[in-house]
Amino acid sequence: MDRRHRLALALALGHTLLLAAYVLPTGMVPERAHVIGQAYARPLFHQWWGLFAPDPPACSCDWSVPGRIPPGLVRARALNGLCRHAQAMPGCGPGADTCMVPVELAAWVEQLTGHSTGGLGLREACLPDRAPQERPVQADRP
Amino acid sequence: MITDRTLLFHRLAHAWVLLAMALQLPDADVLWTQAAGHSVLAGTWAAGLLDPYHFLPAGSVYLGNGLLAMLAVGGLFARPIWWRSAILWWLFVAWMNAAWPTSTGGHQLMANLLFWNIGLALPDRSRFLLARTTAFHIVRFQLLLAYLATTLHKLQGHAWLDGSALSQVASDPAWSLGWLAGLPVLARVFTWATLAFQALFPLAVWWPFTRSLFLAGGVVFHVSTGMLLGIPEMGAAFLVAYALWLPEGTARTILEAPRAAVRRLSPTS
Repeated sequence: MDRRHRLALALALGHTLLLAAYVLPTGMVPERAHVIGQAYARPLFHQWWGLFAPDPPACSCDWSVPGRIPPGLVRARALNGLCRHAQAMPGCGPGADTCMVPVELAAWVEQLTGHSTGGLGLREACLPDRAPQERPVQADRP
Repeated sequence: MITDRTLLFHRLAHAWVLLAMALQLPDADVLWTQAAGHSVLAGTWAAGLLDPYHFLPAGSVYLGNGLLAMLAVGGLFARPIWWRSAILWWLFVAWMNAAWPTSTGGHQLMANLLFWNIGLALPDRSRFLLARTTAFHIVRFQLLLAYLATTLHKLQGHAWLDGSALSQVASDPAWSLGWLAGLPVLARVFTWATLAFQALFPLAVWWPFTRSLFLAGGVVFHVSTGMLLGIPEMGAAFLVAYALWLPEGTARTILEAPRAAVRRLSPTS
């Protein structure tokens, strides 16, 4: 292996270590290294490998609207992603009577479902019995 | 000279972009008309550079994606050129950031792969050898890092270790795995097999025999999870990254497969 090849390998390893400091579980990476990894990776090399990890979500997440939601693989995925995003917010977690979400999020759900947020609800079914629950969604106006 | 596996990687990456665009087309009226909500890069130096659609007039995503599609089709047939690869990467990242709620880990993986594809497409001159070789190793390590990271995240919980993870996923109607909910033993076997595959992959690729075995297993794993979980872009992105781990002979066979198929079907042959 010549000098140039060794240098290329060292550069690639350095890049991968910085990414590792960003993507590995935070408890496994020293805090200072994580901060450096975040500054390096966040804008240009962002990635996330936590699908169904550390455990799959205990609650399902779905939007309920007065009518039918248009079909579509990517649309359904986007709606599920936004639902999970809302579910993780402090104003929308389990136990809350209503689900408060930012205006931008509500507007996107409105566009994707084709319905106004007036009758929008967040429906979830949690383990162990998966009993369905629903609460109304309110856009959090600034 | 560009190697066969680098050329295969380049072409598969372009095919992936076309696949991702085709999957979004039915919902383009919503997803491409206006950038989604707030910018995911807000507050970073890259916001204006890598998320331009949040600052451009509504409908500009259509224009950018038209150009992206043309570049992607061109990349399936033309020799790699670094500046074309750079424009393709930028347009892809801009689109991904504009429609961020639809993104998967596969989109993020491809954003990284397409960035380093610029380095792989640099001219065949000695002064670019360092950049090309570095890009080659980074793409290879990126794949291993993805498997390592997902394994370590899974080991932080309980469901993957006690074997209940896929039963939990199967009981969630958002994923099309309902059929597995009634088969707990099979779900347990699949859970542990998934964990074992992802944990061992970064080690297995360093020996030719285990590498072939894990790459073949990975094709089955990513195609099936991509289809069954409704995230085909995710599975396909991993398969693109496999290209640089293939032996040159296998890469050449795959590259020549379409031409060989046409020759076989041609009436004059």
